[in-house]
Order: sequence, then structure tokens, then C-alpha cells
Amino acid sequence: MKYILLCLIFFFGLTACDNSEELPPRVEDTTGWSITIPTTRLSYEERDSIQKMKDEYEEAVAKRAAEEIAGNK
Amino acid sequence: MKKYIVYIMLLTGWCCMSCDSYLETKDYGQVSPETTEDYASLINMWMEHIETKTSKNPPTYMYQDVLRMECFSDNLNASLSTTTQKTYMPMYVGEYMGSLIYRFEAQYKFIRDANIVLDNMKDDGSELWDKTVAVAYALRGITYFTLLREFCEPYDAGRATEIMGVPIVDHFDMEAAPDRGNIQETVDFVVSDLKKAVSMNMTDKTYPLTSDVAEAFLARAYFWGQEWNNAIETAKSVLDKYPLAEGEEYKNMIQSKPKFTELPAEVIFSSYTQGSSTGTFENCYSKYSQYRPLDLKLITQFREKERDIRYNLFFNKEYLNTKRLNGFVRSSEMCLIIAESYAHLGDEINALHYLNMLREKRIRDYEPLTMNTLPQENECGLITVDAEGKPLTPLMAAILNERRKELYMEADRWLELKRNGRPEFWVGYNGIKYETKKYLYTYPLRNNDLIANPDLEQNEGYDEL
Repeated sequence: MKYILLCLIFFFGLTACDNSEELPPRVEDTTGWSITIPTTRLSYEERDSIQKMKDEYEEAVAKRAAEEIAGNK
Repeated sequence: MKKYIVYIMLLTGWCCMSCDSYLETKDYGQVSPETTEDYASLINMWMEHIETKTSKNPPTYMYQDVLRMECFSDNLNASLSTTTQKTYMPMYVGEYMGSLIYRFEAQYKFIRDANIVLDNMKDDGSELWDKTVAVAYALRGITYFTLLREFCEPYDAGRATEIMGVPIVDHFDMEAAPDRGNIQETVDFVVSDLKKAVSMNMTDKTYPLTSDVAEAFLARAYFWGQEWNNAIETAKSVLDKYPLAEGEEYKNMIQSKPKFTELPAEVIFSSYTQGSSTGTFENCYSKYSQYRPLDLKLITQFREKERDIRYNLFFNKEYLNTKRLNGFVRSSEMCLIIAESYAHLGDEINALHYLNMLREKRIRDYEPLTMNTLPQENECGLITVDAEGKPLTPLMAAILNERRKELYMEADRWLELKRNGRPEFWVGYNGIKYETKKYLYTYPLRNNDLIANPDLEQNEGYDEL
């Protein structure tokens, strides 16, 4: 009886260790994670439209300056 | 034999014992708050961030946020930039997305401490308890409102139970991992918190978040959630208490600069009232903001030119910014909320009344607009549809254009573009094309947040990035 009980205790002890080597799930390194939104190159048409905007802006500034001079007179 | 049976029973019993409580302590700081003063100090720390700090990503916008958000919008023309300054003047929203992703986590720190106060602070019948609870509700409501506007798609009444909200955390629980729910739940939670803050009638202006401030944000929340009648009623209540400024008083308010001993006329709330980074403030205002001219479409909206007090106040002769960078909530916005809400409800008379109310304070020798004299426009810069997705009428276009002018350089336009159709547009600089696509109006969640809570879902458009 004594041996039977010892065997039982021994096997009982082993039942708890079926995954003794198990590790927590690996979490990928996130410290260096960032986000980059892709950009593209401007086409020639798009560069032209920007140049047009610049010209319009310069013209508007000049017009305002002229209006101011006319107003002062 | 009996002895062995006893041993077996003891051994079995011992194995069944568990250790479920030995790690139950939830340590959230060096000292666990116990008294009302301890809890008040938690809230006071965040109030200090709102009043004086430029870090920690508070839910209310600081001067540098104001400048950046203006750069994301169409108020300034990035294609005409004279130089770059990526930290304060990103070319477009995408260029600053690497920093914007941290705002999600940052907001939940404010919410965490508000929850700790609301969960645990025992009512000792003191005035401090009342004030601290009122401020905690206001802080949590305002923070969720910021999350709502930044991390959710714009509100759409027809899809309010389909659009993702943000996780509602209304109690401090380190193990909780709520999902995003829907946008209606988020709007309802914001409204509920702000209504509680308003009902407590906290008037002590040593706290930046009084009940009046909560009420102004409540009007904003109703407005964002398209509850037009509630928005009108709430905004009117605020407007009655904070009348519109005009003339010299208006000029002084617009050009006011922290530190403030008291808030300027018509201002209900201001962040950074006790500014300590004056050098950066001045640089952002007088140097960086002038690297990029205003959009000509905005300029042409000032039809009355010098008769409009804002014409010479907001920009100089080269159409470069001259308006100070303040994170205000002020009654002009309330007036425009009322006008637009009436327009959505089809009440043109009242919509025009409130539009004219604002314009007559800004324009000398003003002739009130009528339905017949409204400019025949159906756009407001890039905006061609209203918040409900309908094409702009001349009345709605006039209200949105007035709002664009009045709240220029106050972190409003970017959110207005988002609320009104999320128009796509591009700018170019140094050979590179920067495209503001529809999905970029809603900021992404950070990868760490998604890993920490697997129930969180990333916003549309960012999964592939």
C-alpha cells in the first residue's frame, strides 16, 4: 500500500509539469515602429500649376500694394 | 491506513489551494491618493499641463497644435512655402503622422486620472470635492471629445452605429481591454460627462475647466454629433453669458498673448494661459507662421476688405499671418454653431440672423445679408458638401466661409474640412507631391496600442502602412 501511494504521489507530481518549457508568447519589438505615409514626385503639369499659383500670388500682392498707393493719393 | 488517507487528503487539499489574491495590488503611482486633497492634486497636475505646458499632448490645443493644424488645412498654401520647418509647419498632415499617433495613448492618461478621482474620492461634503468632481467630468468629457474628432471618422447620422468609436473606459481597471464600440456611443458618453460637469455649476475660474467651459464643449459635441436643436440651445446659453466682442476689444482679444491675468473678451476657454515657453510662442507666431502665405481663396472671402476689421488684423500686405496663436474657445464659434444648426434645420431666417449678428460686429457700415443678397457660391474653399453630405447652398456656403474667416488660425479649419466631406487635395514642394487623402483625416492608432488590446481595430487606410 505504501509503495502504491508513493507511486501515486510521484506521478501526481509529474502531471503539473507537462509544459515546463513553455514561454509567454513573443511580442514583436514595437519601440522602433513608426508610420510613413507615401509621397510621390510632382509631374510636370503639377509643377506648372504650382508656378501658376505663385504667379497669381505675386500678382495679388502687387495689386494690393497698388491699391494702397492709390488710396494714399 | 487511516494515516495515509489523511496524508492524501491533506496533499489533495493543498494542491487545490490557489494564490488568486497575492498580486491584487494595483499600483498607479508612488502614493495612493486617500484624501480629497490627494485626488484634487491629480486633477491639478493636468490643469497645469493645460495652462502652462506644451508637452503631454493635452486634449485642448496649444499654440503649436494650432499652427500645425492650420498647416494641415487649406487656409495656408503649402505649395508657396518659402522654407520648411517640419516640427511646427509640416507640409501636410501625413508628414506629422509619426507624432500624431502618440495622442491616442496620451489622452487615456488624462482619462485614467479622471476615472481614479471619480471612482474613489469619498464625498466629504467639502467644496473642494464638488469642484474636483466637476473638473474631472469636464476633463474626461473634453478628452473623449478630442478622441472623437481625431480618431473616429466624422459623424454620419445614417451610419452612427457602424462607424467605430473609441474605447469607453469609465472606471480605472488596468486589465480592462474594451473594444471601440460605435461613434454614437462615444458621442453619448461625451454628452453625458459634459452635462454632469455643467450641472455642477462650478464657477471657480482658478480652474481652467469651469462649467461654462464644459457647456461650450457640450455645444461643440452636440454640433459634431449633428444634434442641431441641442446645439442651438446650448450655444445660445453660452453666447448669452459671453457676448461677442467688437472694435478695439476684439482687436485686443485676437492679439492677446499669455500670460493672462484674466481671459480676454468673448473667450470662454484658453489653453496655455500661463505660458512659460514665450520664446517658442513668439517664434511660432511671428516667424514660422510667416513661412507660408494664406490661400488666395480665403483672402477673396474678405469682400469688404478694410471695412472688415479682420482684413488688416489677420494678415499683412504680403498675405502672411499676423494673428496670434491662441487655443481659444470663444463665443463667435457659438454664434456660428447656432447659424449653421438653424440652416441644417431649414430655418433660413434664424440662420441669417445669427450670421448677420456676427458680421455686423466685424464689418464697418454693415448691410445685413438677405437670401437675395447672399453671394451665389456653392463652395467654401475645398468644401463642396455640408456635414450631412448635401451640396452647399449659398446660405450654408456663406456660414462656412464666415467661420473660415473668423476662426482662421484657431485650429478650426482642419476639423471643418473633416466634418464637411473630407475633401482630398494635394500640395507640392521641392518636387514632392503630398496628398491629403480621405483616410488621413482620421489619425491611426499606434501599433503598441493595438498589441496591448487585441480588440482594438485600426482605422481604415492604415493597415497596409
